[in-house]
Amino acid sequence: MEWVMIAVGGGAGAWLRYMIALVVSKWDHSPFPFATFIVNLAGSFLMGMAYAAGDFGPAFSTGFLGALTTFSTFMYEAVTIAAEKLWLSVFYILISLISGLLMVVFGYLMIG
Amino acid sequence: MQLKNSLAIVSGGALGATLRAMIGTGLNGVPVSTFLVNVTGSIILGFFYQFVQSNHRISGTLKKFIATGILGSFTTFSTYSLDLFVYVREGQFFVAFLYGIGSILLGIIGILLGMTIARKMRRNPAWNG
Repeated sequence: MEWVMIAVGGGAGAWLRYMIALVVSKWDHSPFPFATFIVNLAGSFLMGMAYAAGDFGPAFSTGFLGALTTFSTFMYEAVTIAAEKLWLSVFYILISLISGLLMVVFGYLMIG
Repeated sequence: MQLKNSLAIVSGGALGATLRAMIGTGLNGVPVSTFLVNVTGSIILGFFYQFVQSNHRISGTLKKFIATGILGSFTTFSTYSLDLFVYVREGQFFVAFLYGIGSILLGIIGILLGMTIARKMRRNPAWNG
């Protein structure tokens, strides 16, 4: 049963990530990948909350949040941006890394 | 069209998250598996995006199923951030640094490696049928 819940959470997380990308693409035409940035930060924040609460269950953390956020697209964007603007790619990587960690801290402090 | 894409992404996402859970990530997971999942997923995504660039028979919906759905959900950023937080909280700053920078360096190398493999395959006549 746990596998089914993780699959359902994963499907929902991936779908929300896609919907956010669609919405963001309507107003944002900058080279900065805001859609991935937004889902990764929001997911990290909620992950910090889930961790402080002692897990909301694997359907939410492993399934939904795991699928809402993505590492492979983040890396692909970093590589493609670097081909055009190296400084923007470095900025994207560092800001994602630092604010991802900060978001976990904020989420954790909200509960803990 | 939008419904078809949504269905592709939901089913791909369910598959990707389940695969990741089987390898063993999550709140109480071992960070090594998150690291492996993220690097492996990056290699496959780099390969796939380069491969579809030269293969126009792959539909947009199939691309979304594999790239946005399966690989997007198979790899994860939230668990990665959480792992970093747990290391920092435990005072394991060096491990946090290695894990943080190492995932990104190998993720970038993974994307480039995947793209290179796809390019080499394209040049090899045996793969072009």
